[in-house]
Amino acid sequence: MIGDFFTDLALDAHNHLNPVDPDVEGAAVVAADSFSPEVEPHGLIHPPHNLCGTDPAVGLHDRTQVVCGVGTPDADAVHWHFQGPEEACAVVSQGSIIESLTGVPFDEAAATRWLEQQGWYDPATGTRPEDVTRLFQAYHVPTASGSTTVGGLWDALAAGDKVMVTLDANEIWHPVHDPATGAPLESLQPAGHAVWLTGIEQNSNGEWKVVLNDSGHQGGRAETVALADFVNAWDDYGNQAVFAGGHAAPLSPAETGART
Amino acid sequence: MSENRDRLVTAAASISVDRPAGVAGLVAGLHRDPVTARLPIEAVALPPVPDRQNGRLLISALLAVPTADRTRVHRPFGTVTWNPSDGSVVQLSEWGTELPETVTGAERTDTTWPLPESEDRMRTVCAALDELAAGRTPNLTELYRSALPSQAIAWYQALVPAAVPWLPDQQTWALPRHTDVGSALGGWIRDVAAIAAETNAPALGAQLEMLAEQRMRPGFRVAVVGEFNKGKSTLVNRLVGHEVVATGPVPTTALFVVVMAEDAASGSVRTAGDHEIAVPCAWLATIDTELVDTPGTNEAGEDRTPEVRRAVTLSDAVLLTVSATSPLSRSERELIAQEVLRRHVPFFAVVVGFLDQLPPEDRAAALSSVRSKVQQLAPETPVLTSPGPVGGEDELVAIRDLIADYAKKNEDRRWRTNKIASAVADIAEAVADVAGQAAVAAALHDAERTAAVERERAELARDAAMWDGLRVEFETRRRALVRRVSDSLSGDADVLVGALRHELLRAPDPKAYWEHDAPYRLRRELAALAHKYESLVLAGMTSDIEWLDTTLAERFDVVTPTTRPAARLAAPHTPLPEADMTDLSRRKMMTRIGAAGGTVAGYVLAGAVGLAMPPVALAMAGGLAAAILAERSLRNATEGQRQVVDQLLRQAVDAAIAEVTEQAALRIRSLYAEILDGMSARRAAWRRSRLAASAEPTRSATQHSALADRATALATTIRAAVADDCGTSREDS
Repeated sequence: MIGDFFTDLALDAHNHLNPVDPDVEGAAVVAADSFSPEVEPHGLIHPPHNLCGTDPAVGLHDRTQVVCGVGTPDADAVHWHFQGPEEACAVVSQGSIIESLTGVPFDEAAATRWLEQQGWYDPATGTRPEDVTRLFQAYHVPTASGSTTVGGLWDALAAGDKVMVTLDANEIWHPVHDPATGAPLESLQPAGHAVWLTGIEQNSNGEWKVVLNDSGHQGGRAETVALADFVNAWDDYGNQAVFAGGHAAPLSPAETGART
Repeated sequence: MSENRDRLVTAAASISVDRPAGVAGLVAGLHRDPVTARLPIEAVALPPVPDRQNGRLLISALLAVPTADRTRVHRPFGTVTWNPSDGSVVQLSEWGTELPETVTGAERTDTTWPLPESEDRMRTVCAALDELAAGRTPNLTELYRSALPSQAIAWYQALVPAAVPWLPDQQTWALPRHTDVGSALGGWIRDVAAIAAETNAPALGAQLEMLAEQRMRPGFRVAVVGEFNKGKSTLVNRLVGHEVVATGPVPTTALFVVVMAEDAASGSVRTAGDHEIAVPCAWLATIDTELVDTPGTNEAGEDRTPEVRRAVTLSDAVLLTVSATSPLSRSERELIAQEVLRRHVPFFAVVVGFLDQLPPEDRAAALSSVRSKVQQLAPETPVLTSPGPVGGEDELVAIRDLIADYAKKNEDRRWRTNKIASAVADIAEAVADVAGQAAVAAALHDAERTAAVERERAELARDAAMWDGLRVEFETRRRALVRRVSDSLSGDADVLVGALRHELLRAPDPKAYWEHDAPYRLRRELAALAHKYESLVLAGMTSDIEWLDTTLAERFDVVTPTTRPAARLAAPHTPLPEADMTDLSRRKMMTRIGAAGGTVAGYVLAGAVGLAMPPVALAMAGGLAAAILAERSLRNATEGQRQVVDQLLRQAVDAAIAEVTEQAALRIRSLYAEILDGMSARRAAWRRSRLAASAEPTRSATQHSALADRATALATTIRAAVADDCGTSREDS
């Protein structure tokens, strides 16, 4: 059953995840009996919402001032996990998203153990960009990865996809701004971090915020970050994003490198 | 929906991200560049080094992944090389877990390294590399001392040979090691002094000489105390291996004899009346310690207790010598009770001598008896055997080891070293400022220079007036603190009188009690009161020093290196105390102020009790009082007699409290003067140097600029090392 998925992976990955080679088209035909047929992420995704022009929702974070937005931050906040002292942000972000799609509780320890066994996760050598979707792939979650824009993020959320981005955590946790211009300043020693972007909103003051399920600290559930700080932090990582769910259009190469 | 998306896109497009330029931009863009974007998302570039290929200047950096707590990095997995002229990645090398063969030695085995956490250091290195790319010659070597862990130096030397000329010499390089601030301090002082001399800033050079003298003082002081002829001097002589102090039953005239290792004696400054002896003693030198031989508390028929207590309050550790042939005397018990139980010195031990004068079969029992009595008073106190004048090698080693252990544990020494290092960094920044001023002045026309000199003169005069005003206000605050101490002590006078009267009225021999017991009881009660009001003194001093910091910041429109917060001068690397702090945190805070040793509160109050002379106050009994005291017992005293006794006690207590208050006032004044004078003198030296630099720049603008850069780099290095050391200290604690 799905509930045993991560544990099973850790116990005997080969028995349960036999031919997985996500780099080979069609190879992600994981033995259907070990990956339960209940794995149907599309049907379990919370419907996308667009609050613009409707009553603001009252959720896990105070959105009483929200006048406009996209995404499902309140529903997604339920599936936030804290990664603890481990450098497992990509693992936890993927696992949380998978949990939201399937309803199966995420077991971080089992997942990281399994990924380590596969050579896709090692705290000493870090997580390669090509490995940040391994869990999605193993779990048959359709994904699109690449560089995109803030508009692209909006579109993916609006389409119902879950979005994971890589960014410099220093610049969202401890943002520094130019005292004269107010422009966000770039950190020279980035703290590379993968987070689940659950929404983009505008409040009654006209300020745009992004809502993140950030596994990196205890206050990361439905954390809101000023758009400027997010743009600064995300820009450091080439505006890379992963859209999970298969609703959004494939990322256009033309968008690569563009900010908006 | 579409309108909202468009508004978002418009908002995002209007955001201006301030990307750094130059080498900093290359480092910051590590994950943005298409070539390096495939690196692990956690990867960071360590501070980069210059590289050369085919005659081109390139920039190379080790790549590593930080540990989860981001205080360290895992061993590097690769290097990246940029071309700074066009910002392109020239080369990306990765070796994964297989180490490069060129890396050898201990650095190969270290699996994690300290992560240079300061973003400022990274920016400084990047800026220096930009200068290098622009054809200038920044002092990169000094910057790398603080910006790179030692392992990175070794790896860069092995992997980027072209960087070697800019890297610190690994053989002599020891700065980033936390414990080496002390050993590097002398070199820093010399380096800053050399730059000050080249900048023609002798006033700042004089400040450095004072710091050099402070540095030469041993970092740990052990007082050897005890009654007359109890083996103090013999013990001191045995410990240092030389007959340096007179022994035997001849009272010495000196109040204190300070014995230190020869190297530490040069440049020493001492209070008049103290004697110093420098001996060639490797043991003392190694543990950076001096011994203080004190007069016997009952030497030459006089009560030397006040002087001995002064020595105690100025010391870090105390060894009390007692004799196995006589029971613990009252003064010995008092000393243990007050100094150990009140914890005025961090380290205290008892050394038992004259065991050889007992029959061998009785020695163990005698030692056991002393140990039992000492430990009844203070259970944790170590009791050791004296080596005597000859032999006793095992006993000698045990005492030396104990002292060495005490010295090693002593936090004050570390704090003092860091304090001096911080002051050297302050002066290095002042020198940099003066050199910068000289560079500006060198480029001015005569008329412009004259105007600049006038401006500096005006600033100097303004400073002098400001300090005068500050001194008056600080003095007012000092008086207020003394008044609070006085009021508090006086408030307890009734309780004190009541306690003494209770004992006096029940004494079988009131006269004997008055003459023999009352002085000790009064001193003990005063010591208890002093302990009670330690936090009052500390809170008052903390408040005054914070006021000084705030006022300086408000009144000096320019923050200069010479107006560092006074709190840094008066406190170690722990926060200043709260009035209700625990004994432990108070113990940690109470440390040396300036040249004065001992604890702040112990120095101010308990030390003042030691100097107060209750026997003098008690000697006032005369006339009717003397007659009453001569009664065999006062149990059946009349009301009239009781009133006379009360009056007598009141006079004695008031006199003793007045004495303590006066002594405490003198000590607070001395401490406040030390804090204020030190700050004003350093600022005045900086101002005068600026004036001289404005009037007569001795070199070209370029040369002065280079001196300023060197001084700035040194200050950065020193501050980083001190910060690292303080970080280690916190981890240790």
